[in-house]
Amino acid sequence: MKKPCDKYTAEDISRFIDNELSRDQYHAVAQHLIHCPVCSRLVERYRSISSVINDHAAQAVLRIDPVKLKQKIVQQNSKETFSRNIFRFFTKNIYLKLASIAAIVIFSLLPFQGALFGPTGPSAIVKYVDTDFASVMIIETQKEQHTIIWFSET
Amino acid sequence: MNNQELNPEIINEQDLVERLKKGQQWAFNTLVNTYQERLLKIAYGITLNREDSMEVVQDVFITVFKNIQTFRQDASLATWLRKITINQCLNWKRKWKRRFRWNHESIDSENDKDLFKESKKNDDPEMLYHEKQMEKKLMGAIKTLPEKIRLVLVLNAFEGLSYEEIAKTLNIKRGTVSSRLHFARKNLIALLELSD
Repeated sequence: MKKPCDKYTAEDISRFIDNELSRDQYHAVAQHLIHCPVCSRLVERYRSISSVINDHAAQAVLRIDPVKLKQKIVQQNSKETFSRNIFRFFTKNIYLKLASIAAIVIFSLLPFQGALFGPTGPSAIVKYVDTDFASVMIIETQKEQHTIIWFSET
Repeated sequence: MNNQELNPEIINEQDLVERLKKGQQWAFNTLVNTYQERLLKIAYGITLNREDSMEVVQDVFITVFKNIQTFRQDASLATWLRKITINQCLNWKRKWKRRFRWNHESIDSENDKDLFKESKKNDDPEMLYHEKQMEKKLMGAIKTLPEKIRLVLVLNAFEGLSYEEIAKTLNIKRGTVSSRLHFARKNLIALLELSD
Protein backbone atom coordinates (compact mmCIF):
# COMPACT_ATOMS: atom_id res chain seq x y z
CA MET A 1 0.00 0.00 0.00
CA LYS A 2 1.31 3.40 -0.92
CA LYS A 3 2.15 5.42 2.16
CA PRO A 4 1.59 9.15 2.36
CA CYS A 5 4.64 9.23 4.64
CA ASP A 6 6.81 6.70 6.47
CA LYS A 7 4.64 6.59 9.55
CA TYR A 8 1.03 6.20 8.39
CA THR A 9 -0.73 4.58 5.46
CA ALA A 10 -3.37 6.30 3.34
CA GLU A 11 -5.95 3.95 4.88
CA ASP A 12 -4.91 5.13 8.37
CA ILE A 13 -5.56 8.68 7.25
CA SER A 14 -8.89 7.63 5.74
CA ARG A 15 -9.89 6.04 9.06
CA PHE A 16 -8.63 9.10 10.93
CA ILE A 17 -10.98 11.47 9.14
CA ASP A 18 -13.86 9.07 9.77
CA ASN A 19 -13.09 8.87 13.50
CA GLU A 20 -12.56 5.15 13.18
CA LEU A 21 -9.22 4.95 14.99
CA SER A 22 -8.86 4.18 18.67
CA ARG A 23 -8.47 7.18 20.93
CA ASP A 24 -4.70 6.70 21.25
CA GLN A 25 -4.21 6.19 17.53
CA TYR A 26 -6.36 9.22 16.81
CA HIS A 27 -4.27 11.48 19.06
CA ALA A 28 -1.04 10.09 17.63
CA VAL A 29 -2.18 10.85 14.06
CA ALA A 30 -3.43 14.29 15.10
CA GLN A 31 0.01 15.06 16.59
CA HIS A 32 1.72 13.70 13.50
CA LEU A 33 -0.34 15.96 11.22
CA ILE A 34 1.13 19.06 12.86
CA HIS A 35 4.57 18.16 11.50
CA CYS A 36 3.74 16.21 8.32
CA PRO A 37 2.63 18.31 5.35
CA VAL A 38 2.11 15.19 3.19
CA CYS A 39 -0.43 13.64 5.56
CA SER A 40 -2.04 17.02 6.27
CA ARG A 41 -2.56 17.53 2.56
CA LEU A 42 -4.11 14.08 2.29
CA VAL A 43 -6.50 14.80 5.16
CA GLU A 44 -7.51 18.03 3.46
CA ARG A 45 -8.11 16.31 0.11
CA TYR A 46 -10.06 13.42 1.63
CA ARG A 47 -12.27 15.84 3.55
CA SER A 48 -12.85 17.97 0.49
CA ILE A 49 -14.10 14.95 -1.47
CA SER A 50 -16.87 14.31 1.06
CA SER A 51 -17.69 17.99 1.30
CA VAL A 52 -17.82 18.56 -2.46
CA ILE A 53 -20.01 15.56 -3.27
CA ASN A 54 -22.26 16.39 -0.33
CA ASP A 55 -22.78 19.96 -1.55
CA HIS A 56 -23.25 18.78 -5.11
CA ALA A 57 -25.93 16.26 -4.14
CA ALA A 58 -27.70 18.75 -1.87
CA GLN A 59 -28.06 21.18 -4.75
CA ALA A 60 -28.77 18.58 -7.41
CA VAL A 61 -31.79 16.98 -5.81
CA LEU A 62 -35.31 18.07 -6.65
CA ARG A 63 -38.13 18.46 -4.15
CA ILE A 64 -41.08 16.16 -3.73
CA ASP A 65 -44.48 17.69 -3.06
CA PRO A 66 -46.10 15.42 -0.43
CA VAL A 67 -49.63 16.48 -1.41
CA LYS A 68 -49.10 15.55 -5.08
CA LEU A 69 -47.43 12.32 -4.05
CA LYS A 70 -50.40 11.42 -1.85
CA GLN A 71 -52.73 12.09 -4.78
CA LYS A 72 -50.62 9.75 -6.89
CA ILE A 73 -50.91 7.05 -4.21
CA VAL A 74 -54.69 7.54 -4.01
CA GLN A 75 -54.97 7.24 -7.81
CA GLN A 76 -52.81 4.12 -7.81
CA ASN A 77 -54.89 2.66 -5.00
CA SER A 78 -58.19 3.34 -6.74
CA LYS A 79 -56.90 1.70 -9.94
CA GLU A 80 -55.71 -1.31 -7.99
CA THR A 81 -58.97 -1.52 -6.06
CA PHE A 82 -61.00 -1.35 -9.29
CA SER A 83 -58.95 -4.14 -10.90
CA ARG A 84 -59.16 -6.19 -7.71
CA ASN A 85 -62.94 -5.73 -7.51
CA ILE A 86 -63.41 -6.72 -11.15
CA PHE A 87 -61.29 -9.79 -10.57
CA ARG A 88 -63.21 -10.65 -7.39
CA PHE A 89 -66.57 -10.16 -9.14
CA PHE A 90 -65.68 -12.70 -11.80
CA THR A 91 -63.98 -15.18 -9.53
CA LYS A 92 -66.39 -15.17 -6.59
CA ASN A 93 -69.38 -16.79 -8.33
CA ILE A 94 -68.84 -20.21 -9.95
CA TYR A 95 -71.43 -19.55 -12.72
CA LEU A 96 -69.86 -16.20 -13.56
CA LYS A 97 -66.48 -17.87 -13.60
CA LEU A 98 -67.73 -20.55 -16.05
CA ALA A 99 -69.51 -17.93 -18.18
CA SER A 100 -66.32 -15.86 -18.32
CA ILE A 101 -64.29 -18.87 -19.46
CA ALA A 102 -66.93 -19.73 -22.09
CA ALA A 103 -66.94 -16.13 -23.34
CA ILE A 104 -63.17 -16.08 -23.58
CA VAL A 105 -63.17 -19.39 -25.50
CA ILE A 106 -65.90 -18.22 -27.92
CA PHE A 107 -64.23 -14.88 -28.60
CA SER A 108 -60.82 -16.44 -29.08
CA LEU A 109 -62.22 -18.98 -31.57
CA LEU A 110 -64.15 -16.42 -33.61
CA PRO A 111 -61.32 -15.65 -36.08
CA PHE A 112 -60.91 -19.35 -36.80
CA GLN A 113 -64.53 -20.18 -37.32
CA GLY A 114 -64.17 -20.82 -41.07
CA ALA A 115 -61.18 -23.07 -40.63
CA LEU A 116 -62.74 -24.96 -37.74
CA PHE A 117 -66.31 -25.38 -38.84
CA GLY A 118 -66.02 -25.07 -42.64
CA PRO A 119 -67.95 -22.66 -44.88
CA THR A 120 -71.13 -21.38 -43.34
CA GLY A 121 -73.25 -21.19 -46.57
CA PRO A 122 -73.53 -22.58 -50.16
CA SER A 123 -71.09 -21.52 -52.84
CA ALA A 124 -72.23 -19.12 -55.53
CA ILE A 125 -72.96 -20.32 -59.08
CA VAL A 126 -71.36 -17.80 -61.39
CA LYS A 127 -72.44 -19.34 -64.70
CA TYR A 128 -74.62 -22.29 -65.65
CA VAL A 129 -74.90 -23.81 -69.19
CA ASP A 130 -77.20 -26.77 -69.82
CA THR A 131 -77.38 -28.36 -73.30
CA ASP A 132 -78.80 -31.62 -74.71
CA PHE A 133 -75.51 -33.48 -74.40
CA ALA A 134 -73.69 -31.78 -71.45
CA SER A 135 -73.99 -29.41 -68.52
CA VAL A 136 -71.35 -26.96 -67.31
CA MET A 137 -71.39 -25.02 -64.08
CA ILE A 138 -68.85 -22.38 -62.94
CA ILE A 139 -68.95 -22.10 -59.18
CA GLU A 140 -67.09 -19.72 -56.85
CA THR A 141 -66.43 -20.79 -53.25
CA GLN A 142 -67.73 -18.48 -50.61
CA LYS A 143 -64.71 -17.46 -48.54
CA GLU A 144 -61.55 -18.14 -50.55
CA GLN A 145 -63.33 -17.33 -53.86
CA HIS A 146 -61.83 -20.33 -55.65
CA THR A 147 -63.36 -21.04 -59.07
CA ILE A 148 -64.63 -24.57 -59.68
CA ILE A 149 -65.67 -25.73 -63.15
CA TRP A 150 -68.15 -28.61 -63.01
CA PHE A 151 -68.82 -30.60 -66.20
CA SER A 152 -71.28 -33.42 -66.77
CA GLU A 153 -72.23 -35.36 -69.91
CA THR A 154 -75.93 -35.97 -70.16
CA MET B 1 -50.87 24.37 8.41
CA ASN B 2 -50.02 24.04 12.09
CA ASN B 3 -46.78 24.51 13.97
CA GLN B 4 -45.94 20.85 13.91
CA GLU B 5 -45.89 20.92 10.12
CA LEU B 6 -43.41 23.73 10.19
CA ASN B 7 -41.15 21.95 12.65
CA PRO B 8 -41.17 18.30 11.65
CA GLU B 9 -37.94 17.57 13.52
CA ILE B 10 -39.63 18.02 16.89
CA ILE B 11 -42.01 15.16 16.22
CA ASN B 12 -41.50 11.95 18.07
CA GLU B 13 -40.79 9.13 15.61
CA GLN B 14 -43.09 6.66 17.33
CA ASP B 15 -45.92 9.17 17.22
CA LEU B 16 -45.27 9.75 13.53
CA VAL B 17 -45.38 6.02 12.79
CA GLU B 18 -48.64 5.64 14.73
CA ARG B 19 -50.19 8.48 12.78
CA LEU B 20 -48.94 7.03 9.51
CA LYS B 21 -50.55 3.72 10.44
CA LYS B 22 -53.81 5.58 10.94
CA GLY B 23 -53.39 7.05 7.42
CA GLN B 24 -53.24 10.69 8.46
CA GLN B 25 -52.33 13.05 5.62
CA TRP B 26 -50.47 15.34 8.02
CA ALA B 27 -48.21 12.46 9.08
CA PHE B 28 -47.49 11.58 5.48
CA ASN B 29 -46.56 15.18 4.67
CA THR B 30 -44.28 15.25 7.70
CA LEU B 31 -42.63 11.99 6.68
CA VAL B 32 -41.94 13.28 3.17
CA ASN B 33 -40.75 16.69 4.32
CA THR B 34 -38.53 15.28 7.04
CA TYR B 35 -36.77 12.55 5.12
CA GLN B 36 -36.92 13.50 1.45
CA GLU B 37 -33.65 15.42 1.29
CA ARG B 38 -31.62 12.66 2.92
CA LEU B 39 -33.15 9.97 0.75
CA LEU B 40 -32.89 12.03 -2.42
CA LYS B 41 -29.20 12.56 -1.78
CA ILE B 42 -28.60 8.85 -1.27
CA ALA B 43 -30.56 8.04 -4.41
CA TYR B 44 -28.71 10.71 -6.35
CA GLY B 45 -25.39 9.33 -5.14
CA ILE B 46 -26.29 5.96 -6.58
CA THR B 47 -28.21 6.90 -9.74
CA LEU B 48 -26.31 10.17 -10.44
CA ASN B 49 -29.46 11.54 -12.02
CA ARG B 50 -31.85 14.07 -10.50
CA GLU B 51 -35.07 12.90 -12.12
CA ASP B 52 -34.35 9.24 -11.53
CA SER B 53 -33.46 9.84 -7.91
CA MET B 54 -36.75 11.67 -7.45
CA GLU B 55 -38.70 8.81 -9.01
CA VAL B 56 -36.89 6.32 -6.83
CA VAL B 57 -37.61 8.27 -3.65
CA GLN B 58 -41.25 8.77 -4.60
CA ASP B 59 -41.48 5.01 -4.94
CA VAL B 60 -39.82 4.67 -1.54
CA PHE B 61 -42.52 6.81 0.09
CA ILE B 62 -45.24 4.90 -1.76
CA THR B 63 -43.74 1.62 -0.51
CA VAL B 64 -43.56 2.99 3.03
CA PHE B 65 -47.14 4.22 2.89
CA LYS B 66 -48.35 0.83 1.70
CA ASN B 67 -46.26 -1.21 4.13
CA ILE B 68 -46.29 0.99 7.21
CA GLN B 69 -48.55 -1.53 9.00
CA THR B 70 -45.74 -4.10 8.80
CA PHE B 71 -43.13 -1.74 10.27
CA ARG B 72 -42.43 -3.03 13.79
CA GLN B 73 -39.90 -0.36 14.77
CA ASP B 74 -37.09 -2.86 15.45
CA ALA B 75 -34.86 -0.33 13.73
CA SER B 76 -35.40 3.41 13.41
CA LEU B 77 -37.61 4.83 10.70
CA ALA B 78 -34.56 6.47 9.11
CA THR B 79 -32.75 3.12 8.92
CA TRP B 80 -35.79 1.47 7.36
CA LEU B 81 -36.20 4.27 4.82
CA ARG B 82 -32.48 4.18 4.01
CA LYS B 83 -32.57 0.45 3.37
CA ILE B 84 -35.63 0.71 1.13
CA THR B 85 -33.99 3.56 -0.80
CA ILE B 86 -30.79 1.59 -1.37
CA ASN B 87 -32.74 -1.47 -2.53
CA GLN B 88 -34.95 0.60 -4.86
CA CYS B 89 -31.86 2.30 -6.32
CA LEU B 90 -30.08 -0.98 -6.96
CA ASN B 91 -33.23 -2.43 -8.54
CA TRP B 92 -33.62 0.70 -10.63
CA LYS B 93 -30.04 0.45 -11.83
CA ARG B 94 -30.35 -3.23 -12.71
CA LYS B 95 -33.54 -2.48 -14.61
CA TRP B 96 -31.94 0.30 -16.63
CA LYS B 97 -28.71 -1.57 -17.16
CA ARG B 98 -30.78 -4.19 -18.95
CA ARG B 99 -32.15 -1.45 -21.16
CA PHE B 100 -28.65 -0.23 -22.09
CA ARG B 101 -29.16 3.16 -20.57
CA TRP B 102 -26.92 3.41 -17.57
CA ASN B 103 -23.56 3.43 -19.30
CA HIS B 104 -24.66 5.84 -22.00
CA GLU B 105 -25.47 8.81 -19.84
CA SER B 106 -22.92 11.50 -19.40
CA ILE B 107 -22.72 13.52 -16.24
CA ASP B 108 -22.20 16.56 -18.47
CA SER B 109 -25.45 15.94 -20.28
CA GLU B 110 -27.45 16.32 -17.13
CA ASN B 111 -29.58 19.32 -16.62
CA ASP B 112 -27.66 20.43 -13.58
CA LYS B 113 -25.11 22.50 -15.42
CA ASP B 114 -26.02 25.58 -13.43
CA LEU B 115 -26.19 23.86 -10.10
CA PHE B 116 -23.19 25.58 -8.66
CA LYS B 117 -23.97 29.06 -9.87
CA GLU B 118 -25.85 29.98 -6.74
CA SER B 119 -25.17 29.76 -3.04
CA LYS B 120 -21.41 29.84 -3.29
CA LYS B 121 -19.73 31.59 -0.43
CA ASN B 122 -16.77 32.61 -2.51
CA ASP B 123 -17.45 35.49 -4.89
CA ASP B 124 -14.13 35.41 -6.74
CA PRO B 125 -15.05 34.35 -10.29
CA GLU B 126 -11.73 32.59 -10.88
CA MET B 127 -12.05 30.67 -7.64
CA LEU B 128 -15.65 29.85 -8.45
CA TYR B 129 -14.61 28.57 -11.85
CA HIS B 130 -11.94 26.31 -10.33
CA GLU B 131 -14.31 25.00 -7.71
CA LYS B 132 -16.91 24.27 -10.35
CA GLN B 133 -14.36 22.50 -12.51
CA MET B 134 -13.21 20.47 -9.53
CA GLU B 135 -16.79 19.45 -8.73
CA LYS B 136 -17.42 18.49 -12.32
CA LYS B 137 -14.27 16.37 -12.44
CA LEU B 138 -15.04 14.79 -9.10
CA MET B 139 -18.57 13.86 -10.09
CA GLY B 140 -17.25 12.46 -13.34
CA ALA B 141 -14.68 10.44 -11.41
CA ILE B 142 -17.32 9.20 -8.96
CA LYS B 143 -19.26 7.77 -11.87
CA THR B 144 -16.34 5.54 -12.74
CA LEU B 145 -16.25 3.96 -9.28
CA PRO B 146 -17.77 0.50 -8.98
CA GLU B 147 -21.28 0.62 -7.53
CA LYS B 148 -20.40 -1.21 -4.30
CA ILE B 149 -17.56 1.25 -3.64
CA ARG B 150 -19.71 4.29 -4.40
CA LEU B 151 -22.46 3.02 -2.15
CA VAL B 152 -20.09 2.98 0.85
CA LEU B 153 -18.84 6.45 -0.01
CA VAL B 154 -22.39 7.79 -0.31
CA LEU B 155 -23.39 6.42 3.10
CA ASN B 156 -20.24 7.84 4.65
CA ALA B 157 -20.34 11.26 3.02
CA PHE B 158 -24.10 11.92 2.94
CA GLU B 159 -25.36 10.07 5.99
CA GLY B 160 -22.22 10.32 8.12
CA LEU B 161 -22.62 6.69 9.14
CA SER B 162 -19.93 4.89 11.10
CA TYR B 163 -18.15 1.90 9.56
CA GLU B 164 -20.23 -0.35 11.82
CA GLU B 165 -23.51 1.16 10.64
CA ILE B 166 -22.49 0.99 6.98
CA ALA B 167 -21.43 -2.63 7.47
CA LYS B 168 -24.84 -3.48 8.98
CA THR B 169 -26.76 -1.63 6.27
CA LEU B 170 -24.92 -3.33 3.42
CA ASN B 171 -24.35 -6.68 5.12
CA ILE B 172 -20.58 -6.50 4.78
CA LYS B 173 -17.67 -6.58 7.21
CA ARG B 174 -16.39 -3.48 8.97
CA GLY B 175 -12.93 -4.01 7.47
CA THR B 176 -14.49 -4.12 4.01
CA VAL B 177 -16.09 -0.73 4.65
CA SER B 178 -12.71 0.68 5.61
CA SER B 179 -10.93 -0.71 2.56
CA ARG B 180 -13.71 0.35 0.17
CA LEU B 181 -13.68 3.90 1.51
CA HIS B 182 -9.94 4.04 1.22
CA PHE B 183 -10.12 2.63 -2.31
CA ALA B 184 -12.75 5.23 -3.28
CA ARG B 185 -10.74 8.16 -1.92
CA LYS B 186 -7.45 6.96 -3.35
CA ASN B 187 -8.99 6.45 -6.80
CA LEU B 188 -10.86 9.74 -6.81
CA ILE B 189 -7.70 11.65 -5.98
CA ALA B 190 -5.76 9.72 -8.62
CA LEU B 191 -8.45 10.47 -11.24
CA LEU B 192 -8.52 14.13 -10.28
CA GLU B 193 -4.74 14.40 -10.52
CA LEU B 194 -4.80 12.60 -13.86
CA SER B 195 -7.26 15.10 -15.30
CA ASP B 196 -5.31 18.17 -14.08
